[in-house]
Amino acid sequence: MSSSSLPTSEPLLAIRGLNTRFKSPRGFVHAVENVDLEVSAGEILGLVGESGSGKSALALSILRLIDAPGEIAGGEILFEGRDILKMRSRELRQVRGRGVGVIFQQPQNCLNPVRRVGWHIAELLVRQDGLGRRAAWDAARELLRTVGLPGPEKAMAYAHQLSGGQAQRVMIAAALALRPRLIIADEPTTALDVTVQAQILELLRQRCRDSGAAMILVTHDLGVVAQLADRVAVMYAGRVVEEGPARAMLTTPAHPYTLGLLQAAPRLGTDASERLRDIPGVIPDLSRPLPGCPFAPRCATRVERNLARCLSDPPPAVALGPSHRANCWAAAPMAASSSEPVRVAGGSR
Amino acid sequence: MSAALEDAPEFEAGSRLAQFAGRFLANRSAAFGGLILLLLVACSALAPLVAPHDPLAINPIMRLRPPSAEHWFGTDEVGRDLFSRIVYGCRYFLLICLVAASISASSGTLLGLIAGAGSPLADGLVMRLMDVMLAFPYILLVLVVVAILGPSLWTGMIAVGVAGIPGYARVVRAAVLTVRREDYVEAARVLGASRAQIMFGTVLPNVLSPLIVYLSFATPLAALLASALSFVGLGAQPPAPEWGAMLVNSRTYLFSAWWAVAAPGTALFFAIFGLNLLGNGLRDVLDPQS
Repeated sequence: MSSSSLPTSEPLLAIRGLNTRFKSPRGFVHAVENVDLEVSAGEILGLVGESGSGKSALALSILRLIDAPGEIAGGEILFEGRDILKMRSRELRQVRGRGVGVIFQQPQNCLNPVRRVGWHIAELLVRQDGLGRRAAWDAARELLRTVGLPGPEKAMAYAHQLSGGQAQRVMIAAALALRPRLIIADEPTTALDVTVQAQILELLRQRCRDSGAAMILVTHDLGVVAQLADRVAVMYAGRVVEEGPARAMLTTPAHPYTLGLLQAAPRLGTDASERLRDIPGVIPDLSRPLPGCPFAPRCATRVERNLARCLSDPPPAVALGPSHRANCWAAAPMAASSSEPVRVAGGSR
Repeated sequence: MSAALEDAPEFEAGSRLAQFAGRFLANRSAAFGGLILLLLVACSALAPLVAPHDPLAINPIMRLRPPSAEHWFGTDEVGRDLFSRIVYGCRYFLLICLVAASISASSGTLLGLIAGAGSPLADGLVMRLMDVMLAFPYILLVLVVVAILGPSLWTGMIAVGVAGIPGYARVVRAAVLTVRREDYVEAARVLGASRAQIMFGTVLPNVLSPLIVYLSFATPLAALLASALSFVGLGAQPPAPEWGAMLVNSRTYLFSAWWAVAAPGTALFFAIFGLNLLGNGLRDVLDPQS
């Protein structure tokens, strides 16, 4: 068998025991702690969490984009079977762009202000595909057309002449120019107008589908996840606390934190006078890891059921169905509407 | 014009250069400085046509004559036409500016890029070296280089160029430090660009504005220093019509033939003044905040 054709059981991306930490005057801040995550070819994984939950740090770690004072302290990131963390810089540069494309939050800041829009894509094609100048610019214009920026004058524009939505379209074209197998979109619509968000998300989904690329969609917006994702991973305090198929996660979340997130999200059609339920408290200090579950201090379920071990022992990974698991002592599928937990499946590993 | 997608502003054709030219001409300081520079360039290029006499032709009968219709700026101690010597001196002035500025700007920019975008170790090494160079008085540093290479026009220019390196390195490093944190640098890295490609393709074009402004301020200083070097006999050697060298020769006759000192002095003054005006104007034109 040739090395390029992988067995189908092998995931496109497999993250095992990843630790990313940042050095601070008070010691290490553990932004990503012992994370296991897999992405299969062609699927869209929603990575959800509140600010500071480590979702961006995780996304950046995948391409080793963590700069000092941050460092990846351990684990492995297997992309098509090869460990990114062990790659030499030349190999890594090939994976960046060609294997994995990234789309950031502030598209207008991601375009070089003194370069024309088309240059970003043409330069990439010259550098990585060895195209000639003219061919590269032709290809760049064609790519811009596929993301909804037709007309040669768009390629000749500068970043400041584009709207946020247009700039994000350019970034999508650039990220997909080399036909990567995986796209990491780090809050791609957060900085955009609400009216443009849906267009950009639809474009992202469509372009990924067309090129067969998988996507990791980092967001704090559950609506976005519901719209796009096949699978969802919820992060809290640097850990993946629950992971599973999008439908199951959004209807019957197992982890109290996932439930809390769902209840905190506004929904159309509900009584406007009804207050949204927030989760009291804040994310724990990541420089002083807790012995038990990081969510335990804020967890209503723990208080309700008076679970002492939540504070003292790390929670087990509980399998709740095919590819659905939660790290929780009280894990059991719960309906988003009822606050009464019903134990159906579970048990420690 | 095509229909604008979403809420995009209309694109202006060829905007950047046209915009720059418009703002440059609208700025009085920049326009006047540019005019003086243009005059210097024209005199250098057309010197044989502009100058009425051979700048090196000696005429003992006509020594130290005051300005007249024949000799507009008068003559010097060996009867050479001062106007012609000033015109030919433009060439030396521009040559000095060009050579000295090229040496300091290219080396300084490279070192600044390495310091600003390289490893902390490279940064430390480069900047400490620059600090050592800056710790020497400017003129002393120049004298050391001249002492090593021997006095001539070229060694003078090289010495002045070398002495200017630390200034450029500092300016470029400071600009690089702010640019390297921009999202578009990260975006280039994500798309597989190497360190060198990022340095020259992405970072360098974004530090050009402060670099150009510093260039226009540092160059007249370098030219002045080079003239001073000629004045103390370590730069251009007589009988070359270099303005600094002309000042030395005629200073003995300051009280009997003031024009022999005034001509090169005034020329030097206007040239430096023009470049400084240009620098001032460029700073305003290129400043994104204005």
